Amino acid sequence: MGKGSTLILKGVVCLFGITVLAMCIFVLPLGISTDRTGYYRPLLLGMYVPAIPFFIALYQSLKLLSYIDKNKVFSDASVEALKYIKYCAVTISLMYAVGMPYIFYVADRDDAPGVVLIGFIIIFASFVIATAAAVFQKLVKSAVDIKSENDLTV
Amino acid sequence: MKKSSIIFLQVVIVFIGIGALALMLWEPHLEGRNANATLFQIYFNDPFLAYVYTASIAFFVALYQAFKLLGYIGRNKVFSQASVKALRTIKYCAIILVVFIVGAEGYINIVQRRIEEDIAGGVMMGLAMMFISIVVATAAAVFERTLQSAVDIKSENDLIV
Repeated sequence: MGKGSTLILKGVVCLFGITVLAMCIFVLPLGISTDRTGYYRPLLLGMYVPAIPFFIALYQSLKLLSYIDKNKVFSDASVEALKYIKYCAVTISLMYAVGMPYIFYVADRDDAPGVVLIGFIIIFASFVIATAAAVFQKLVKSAVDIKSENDLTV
Repeated sequence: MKKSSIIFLQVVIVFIGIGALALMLWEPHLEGRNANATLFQIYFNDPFLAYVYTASIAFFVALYQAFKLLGYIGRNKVFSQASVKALRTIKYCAIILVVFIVGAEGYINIVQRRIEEDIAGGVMMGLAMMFISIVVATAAAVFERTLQSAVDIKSENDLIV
């Protein structure tokens, strides 16, 4: 397995993580501390909660990429990692779905439909990731089964 | 394999395709210089538009291959040479897209810069698309190799049994 391509993907995952972390540390407090954000403040505070499953999912994808590097991708460990990614994505999706009524309220008060759109995009995107992770999980599981059957025969 | 999740992902791919196609056909109407142009002038007078439409073929081919790949998964035929080939095609399509975007960026930076002053938006969008395409190409390459090794394991298995 060429190390280069997984290294690029690892770098991308780290880049995502650093960007969101920087948002959490620098951008969100900036918005929370000013008075101008008004109704948005609970929303900005609430965005810290889904950040936790997001970082867990990123960590699990890093782990998965290192399994690929070590030629250990067809193992129960990677099935486990994919399961965590699936749960994290579902959690993020649910958290934003729960917050959606408040997002509607804020967007209505502020007359900013874009906020609702962003909320829907986040819910939708994490749902797609959850489904893809579920499919991958089953695929890797069946590959693991084939492989273990193989090992038993030999 | 659960059919519903596969169908959901296939629907998402179809929506992405329709969305991209609609956006590409509709966007030229928003350009300021096309305000008084006829339909023919809008679509056939702009070499850059033709260039972008040509580049988009690679995008739609990749979407079709992803759709096909999901179909293989649904029919429990994912560990086959056909799906490895689909992933390889996706990889090539993403690389072709990167090359096309590099060309477009060059055009914007060298030619368009002399005519228009504000090219930042176009450059930024191109860079974002390039980044996404590179990530997709790399991911497809990794999946391709992983899948190839799974296919090898399986064929070994089939030989023994």
